[in-house]
Amino acid sequence: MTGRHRLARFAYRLLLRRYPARIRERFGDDMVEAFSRRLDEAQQASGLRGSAAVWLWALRDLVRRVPPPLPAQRSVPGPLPPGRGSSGPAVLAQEAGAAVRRLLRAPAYTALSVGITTAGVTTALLAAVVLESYLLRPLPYPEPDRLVSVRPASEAVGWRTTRDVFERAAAWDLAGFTLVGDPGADLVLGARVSPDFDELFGVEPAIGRFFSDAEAAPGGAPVVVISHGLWTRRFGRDPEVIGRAITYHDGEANRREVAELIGVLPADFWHLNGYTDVLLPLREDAPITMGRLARGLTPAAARARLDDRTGGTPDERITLTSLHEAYTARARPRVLLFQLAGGLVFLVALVNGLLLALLRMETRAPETHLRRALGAGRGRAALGPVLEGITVTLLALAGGAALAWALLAPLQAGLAGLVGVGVPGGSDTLRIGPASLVALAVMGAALALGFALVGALGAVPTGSESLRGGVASGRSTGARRGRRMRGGLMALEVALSATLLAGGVFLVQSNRELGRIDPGFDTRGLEVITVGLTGPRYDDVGTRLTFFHALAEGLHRRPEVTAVALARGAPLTSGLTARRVVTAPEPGRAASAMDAVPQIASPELFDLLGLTPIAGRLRPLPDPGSAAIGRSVAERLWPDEPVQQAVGRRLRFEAWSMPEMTLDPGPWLTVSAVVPDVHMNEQGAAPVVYLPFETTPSRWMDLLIRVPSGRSPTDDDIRSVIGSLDPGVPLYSRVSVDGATARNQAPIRLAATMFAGFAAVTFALSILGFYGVTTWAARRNRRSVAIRVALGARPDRVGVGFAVDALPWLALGLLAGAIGGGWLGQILVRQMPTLASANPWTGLALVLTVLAVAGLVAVWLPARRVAGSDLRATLEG
Amino acid sequence: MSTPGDAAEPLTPAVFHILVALADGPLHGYGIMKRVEEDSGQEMGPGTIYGSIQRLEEAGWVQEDPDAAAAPRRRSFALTADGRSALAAELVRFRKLTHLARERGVADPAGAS
Repeated sequence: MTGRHRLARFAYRLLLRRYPARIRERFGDDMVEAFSRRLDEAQQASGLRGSAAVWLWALRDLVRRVPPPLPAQRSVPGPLPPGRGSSGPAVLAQEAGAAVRRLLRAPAYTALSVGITTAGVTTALLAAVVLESYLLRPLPYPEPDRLVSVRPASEAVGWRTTRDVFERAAAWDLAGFTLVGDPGADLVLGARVSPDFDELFGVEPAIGRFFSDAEAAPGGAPVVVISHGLWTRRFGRDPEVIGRAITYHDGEANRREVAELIGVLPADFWHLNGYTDVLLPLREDAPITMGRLARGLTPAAARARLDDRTGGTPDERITLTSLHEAYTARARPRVLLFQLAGGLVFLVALVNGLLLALLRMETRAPETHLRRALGAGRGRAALGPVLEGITVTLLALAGGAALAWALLAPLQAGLAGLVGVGVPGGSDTLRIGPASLVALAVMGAALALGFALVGALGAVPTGSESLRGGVASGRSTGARRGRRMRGGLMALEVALSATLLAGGVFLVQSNRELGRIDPGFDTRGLEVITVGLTGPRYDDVGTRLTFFHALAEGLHRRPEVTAVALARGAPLTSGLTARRVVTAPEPGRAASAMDAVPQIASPELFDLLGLTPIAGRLRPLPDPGSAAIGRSVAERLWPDEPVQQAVGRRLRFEAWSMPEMTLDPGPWLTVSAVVPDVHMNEQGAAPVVYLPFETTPSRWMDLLIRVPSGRSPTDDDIRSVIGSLDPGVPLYSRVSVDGATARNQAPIRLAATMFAGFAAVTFALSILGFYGVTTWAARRNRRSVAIRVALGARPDRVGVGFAVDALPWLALGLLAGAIGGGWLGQILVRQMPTLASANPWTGLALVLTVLAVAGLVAVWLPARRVAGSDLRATLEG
Repeated sequence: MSTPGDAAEPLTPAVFHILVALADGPLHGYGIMKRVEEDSGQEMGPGTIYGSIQRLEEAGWVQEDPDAAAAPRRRSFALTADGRSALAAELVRFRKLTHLARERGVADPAGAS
């Protein structure tokens, strides 16, 4: 301190004598100090002129009178000046109106916030609808809680003999029936069912009636009930059909029968299996597969009674499972996975919504602090942001519900393929029910609570400079808390994104690998027509041969068809089962064995698929005891020899259960040719043993046709060819190989699309979150950034500094994401075995790298932009 | 309907500005002086500031900041609940006057509602 200052302080202290002693004694030192600092500042700024101005200012101040005493009590009007009204509801209405107006004045924030939270709500609500429809809603049958599935089917547990255990029980014998007569042969699925069927499932025929006791009794009149679908399809909903005689061929009994049509099932009747087009009475006692437990009987007591009947040996022990659980067992893990994905997307959306709200709170901090300064309590100051959050929440809930409702129809189409079974009760029951509404309410509560927390946090003062919109000190507890909260939210967001992205990339990778599989033959224009021969006429193998050869010729005569081949089980369209194959013992060589698919094929199949023999010959027709084998069969059965050496060797199937040719073991077959491998299903190249069609013609055969022009014959064209040979033979099915492949891959494709969509949304959200938070932080610290740049720091380095600050949160999120992604990958592989060929870790590594790079860029870029902006203005402002 | 603030006398500008300055947290005398200048452009001297603070303390609207008591060289002052309420009452009075002025055709240059 200079001597001149000491003099000035002394002079000013003398002047203070004008003030009352109590003020002078208490505040004298402070007043001198304040005067001295002001004098110092003025001198530095304007020299002597500044000093003179301060002295004048001080003298003016001395001339003023000391303020008069204030009233000890001043009436308190409440925390804030009430406007139009001061009552609670009025204040709430006033604040709500203000919140809506503020949101309208910030359309970008509002649109982004509502959009993000709506996306999350929609996804999670759809997942909740799936969960409710599959796992929570009871089956659409009377008293569904007492319905049980009975496994295994036991002769000792028949529907006639378990009246003491089951109030109602059903046994059925599933079968295919060929309806004959006008308007042509039609193969439909049906069953013989025990007479309790209608009461067990609470079904009332739409027209007509169900079986009477007399009809259900042995020797009863032949009667039939048909489905509403068949009634519509075949009889044009003609009510006069009741009482009409229906002629059908029973595939199981292999005979033609006539029955009186007595009833039509209602249109909304849904059954657990699809065998309901034709229902006939099951007259003999048969093992039940499901029933309704007698009232008051527990499953344990029921099981004990059933064990008494079966003898209770471990092999025959009856298991009673809730019918609902038994039906949804396959779907359960996938539905839960869907729920998990939906929940994760909602969480990411929630975190983003909160981050946005937090940023908005921070940018509006001066306004909030002014309100606090004007007397608003923390609750009142937080009310505005909370009401804004509630408005966003309500919009998101309404938008999410509307979007989910609109998306239900497309979801219905692919859901059964995705989860493995149809929706219990039929796809119409996929709707927003009470449980989904509860989920919606929980989401609303989570959003509202999150916004309330952010509002409360924003209402806490974070530093004295906030009122002036200045730089946050960053040292206060509130600021630290806010920073930690933002960092934690960002880490959570990265973790969730990484988890979903890893799952999405893994599924997309698997889907691509499946699409890249070379089936080993040209699938273009290849169609598979399946035809089944029923009736005693075709008991004779020669008649079958004649029919199928004539059919092949008839199809070949069609101008669109360039090639026809006969096969039992076509590649990529049928689920042929592999069976054990063994080689014949040879001197000095032990027999070897493997699993291979037996496929009945005409020689034309090899031409049609373009399979040129690697060794041996395919024409003329091989001997009845010969077989062609795929390359992989030769390689595995005779591993140390060239595949050509397989020709002439012998092998046989250990269990020869070809249709109507059950032998154990099968006859010895001599290898006549080795051909390239083909893919029998989407899981890869299956080892195939081709058996000559001439020696093993089944009743059911596939006719493969090549239609290169893309102009296929119509179903009616094909029916006409079949009908010209035998009007009683129906066209069972017709598929294109490409179509069947696409259908097989549809669940994975749908899952991949769904996860990829979820993942893309979460990725975009998390990067947006990082970008937004850094932009906000850089702007908040604009002054300190400006000072650093003014002191020589390059804007790039400032950006790097921000990136380094964000690193721990990013790393934490990535670590959690790596654990979550690995876990999700394992779950996906367990649920979709065809994914096992893809490596989940490659995708995970890719995801983590991309997220890390994108996250750092999203942090560095906005910080650099702020550092490179007009900092002079910042410093001067 | 009358509000509790109806009967209150208007605050002096110095007292009002000091209360506003302290609304954001405790300040020492020189800090108040600077804050008032920033907020309103008013230059208040130490005499006005400390004289007013003395009165404000006597009225129970301001108290010495207990957290800053360990640093006697920098005596800080904080708003009490009564002080905050007094400030709010003054704002009610301002609002009524603003409303009255607007009803009498005085345009609000800021366009604020």
